[in-house]
Amino acid sequence: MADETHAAQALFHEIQQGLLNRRTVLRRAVALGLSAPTIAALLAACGGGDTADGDDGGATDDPTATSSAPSSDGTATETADATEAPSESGDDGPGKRGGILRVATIGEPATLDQHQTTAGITALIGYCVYETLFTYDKSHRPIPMLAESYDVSDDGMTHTIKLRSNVPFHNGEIMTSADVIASIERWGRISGVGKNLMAATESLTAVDDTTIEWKTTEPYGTMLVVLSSNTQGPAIYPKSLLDRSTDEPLTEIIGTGPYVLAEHRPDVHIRVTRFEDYAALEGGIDGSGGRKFAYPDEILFIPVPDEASRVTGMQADDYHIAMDIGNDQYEVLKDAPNLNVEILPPRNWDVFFLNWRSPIWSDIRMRKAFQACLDHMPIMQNSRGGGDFVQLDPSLMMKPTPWYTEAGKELYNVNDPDLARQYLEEAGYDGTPIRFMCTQEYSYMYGAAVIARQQMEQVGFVVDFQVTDWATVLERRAKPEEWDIFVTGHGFVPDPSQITYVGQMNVYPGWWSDPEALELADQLLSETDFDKRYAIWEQIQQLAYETVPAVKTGDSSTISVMSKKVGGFDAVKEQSRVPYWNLWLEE
Amino acid sequence: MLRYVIRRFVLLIPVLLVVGVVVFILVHLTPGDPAAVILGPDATQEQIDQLRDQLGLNQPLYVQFFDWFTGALRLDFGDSIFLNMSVTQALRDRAQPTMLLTLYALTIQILIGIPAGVIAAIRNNSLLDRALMVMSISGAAIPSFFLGIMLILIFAVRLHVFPSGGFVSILDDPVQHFKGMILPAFALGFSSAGLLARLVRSSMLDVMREDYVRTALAKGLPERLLVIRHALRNALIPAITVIGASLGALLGGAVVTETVFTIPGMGRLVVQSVARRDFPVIQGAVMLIAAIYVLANLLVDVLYVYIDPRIHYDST
Repeated sequence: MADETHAAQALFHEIQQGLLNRRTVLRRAVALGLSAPTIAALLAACGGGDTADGDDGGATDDPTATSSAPSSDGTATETADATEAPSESGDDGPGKRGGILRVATIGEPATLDQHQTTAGITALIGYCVYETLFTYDKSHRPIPMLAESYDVSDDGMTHTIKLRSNVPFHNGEIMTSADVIASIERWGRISGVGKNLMAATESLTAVDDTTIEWKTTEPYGTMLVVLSSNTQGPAIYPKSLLDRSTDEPLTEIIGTGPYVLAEHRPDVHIRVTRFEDYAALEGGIDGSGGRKFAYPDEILFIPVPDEASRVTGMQADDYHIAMDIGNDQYEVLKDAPNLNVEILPPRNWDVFFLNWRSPIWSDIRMRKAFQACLDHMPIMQNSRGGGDFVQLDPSLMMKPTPWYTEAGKELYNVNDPDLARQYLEEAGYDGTPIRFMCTQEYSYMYGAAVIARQQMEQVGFVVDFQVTDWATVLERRAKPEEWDIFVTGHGFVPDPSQITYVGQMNVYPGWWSDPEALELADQLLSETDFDKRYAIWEQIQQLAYETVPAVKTGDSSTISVMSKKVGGFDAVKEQSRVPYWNLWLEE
Repeated sequence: MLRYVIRRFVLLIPVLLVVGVVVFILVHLTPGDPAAVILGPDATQEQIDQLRDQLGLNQPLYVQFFDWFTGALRLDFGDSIFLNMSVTQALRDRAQPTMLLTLYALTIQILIGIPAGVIAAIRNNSLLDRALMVMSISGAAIPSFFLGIMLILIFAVRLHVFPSGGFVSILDDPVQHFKGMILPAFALGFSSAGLLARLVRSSMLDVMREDYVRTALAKGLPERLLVIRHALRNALIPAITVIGASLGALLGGAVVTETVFTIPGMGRLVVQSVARRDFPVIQGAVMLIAAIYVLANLLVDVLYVYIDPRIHYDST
């Protein structure tokens, strides 16, 4: 296998330098005895240089890979039959292939290496290029992606993951257990979630080329959730790439995804092109998983940091999709003849964090005074636009997930200034200014903070309102001595362990450290049974209202702005992150 | 003359030194952490500390300054924290859009400003004069970003004749390049054209009242020849000062214009780098812009000699 990899790489380099045409590649690859998928991947790398070979480049798009019996070393029949593998014609799904999808993004990602950052922009672009063992289906439950099947022992401590066979990377190598283990170990050294998982790992070993066995020191209830993460998730890279790089952000990105990273010009664009040998799953689209059609020939991610420029660019038909358009643009854009503008299901909630390490909040009556003084609707209206864009809901887990609960709702949206004054008086509040950090960089944060400040002052809080840029908030919120409140948004998460101040309890700024909650959080992480976990989660949410680590204001929707030329959005709009590979261009 | 130019070049060093020190201090005293920006909103403090160590941000400030400054003396401005390339490379990649944008804006400024000023002066107190001056005052008063947005709304959104933004290299596709650059160049150049027109008008009026102009007129010189050959040449000296100074203003204005028109130039790089706290890039870019500014002023001073033979710099 190692020899094959080596030979394939050598060929690949020659192809990259434009030295070989498809026919030569095919002849030499067969002579070298390379496996069918490797040959097909190599052919794809040469592009359509030699028309005599027709569409053979798409030969390995082999949907049968998951159902056919895999050979022990993960390679298939080693003959020129590669070129006769079933072509994918006839199953193009509902959409149209072709065209360049132009996406106006909010800016330049710090890196495209998924292991490094929780930044949404990295995930949005990156998940076109690489994949994870598991991903989320349309109801936000983990389903296999690069994994084929999964088994957990009765004690919940041994997880056996069977990988799909014949899944090629963009460099022509075939994914094996070695790639998966190398990727997961690297992710486990870098990401916070990964470190937690690796700390609980006893061993992670390859049973064979397509099976890994993962033993943990305790039952690990969130294993699949963690492996499905769509921010800073365990993207699977080829081991050969990781062997020649460090734990610093990768500069070369290779994955198994439906698109290949073709060009990255910082602040100009990121261009991904269809991976013709992508090993697609059979069946239909299922949330972020299932069949990936890769309709557009290319996707161009263009950084347009200025929102007004994204809006005018959409109006002028310069882009097909614009990310992050503020809700206040809805009225302006909804009647635009060339655009589809719609309000998406709620995907964010806003939250005020209280600093548990600040002396001011050490008295629970102070925290309860803050909780009681807030009238949530005006806050939501000023931050997220009111109307159809906001809704009040006590559940920290959103409705489409099975985790929804109203536990603690009597303490949600209290809006009782007299009660707040009473708490302040009982606590003996002496008028020490409350240091309230916010930023104008995100208008919703500022909008929420301004109204909350008014409501606090009305009951007698003295507020030291500190407006800085977001980078400053990020830096200062890590220092317990510098602040009392900050406001931020929380994105949709499919599992309660992914709520920042639950999964990272006593670590995430605010440092919620109620002893009972800490113990429950541990149980939530180790328990594997859904019903038991749900009961634990209800208690945690109850405590989140009773002990006030933070105050959730409400849920909010954002709008999606797309060109009318874009098709396929209805099938995927429930997803928290748009799978661009299943969108198509109508023209 | 040569000695003067050399002396001015030598003076560039202390200027850049001061700029370098001030920028370094400002940038590093501004709160905000590049590591936190890179790692994303949910990063833990431990991860941030680790990355800060890797980036050398935990070293004492004077050590960081010394490292950076000794590098800068060798024209090595270090590596971008965010972009995975050297600062020199990052600036070089973005030089073309900014330089061309500034050049086009300067051209528009001159093409509009000088004729408008001359015509207004010749037709002094006429309706045309009034109209031109209303235009030039409006031009100077409207911020370039607002003008930019208006131009986009009219020409990109409504009429679809120009793109709303973006940049195509002149080498890749000259037609698309110019189509894309017309609106931003106009947005940027129009306001300085207004200032220039007012200046040219008033200095033309001064010159036209001079005795030699009256004499030339009395001798029967045609008005067009008189205006172009005699009056304008003398009226241009203050204009050149303004054009030279506006080069700096245009470079500064490019920061805003490039953001509105999504042009990947140096101006937008500076804005983005501030948001990302990419210290080396901010420092390098500000040094470069300062150097361009100083050199533009030097160029203006040298041009004086050619336009006005009465001006000498050497003590002889």
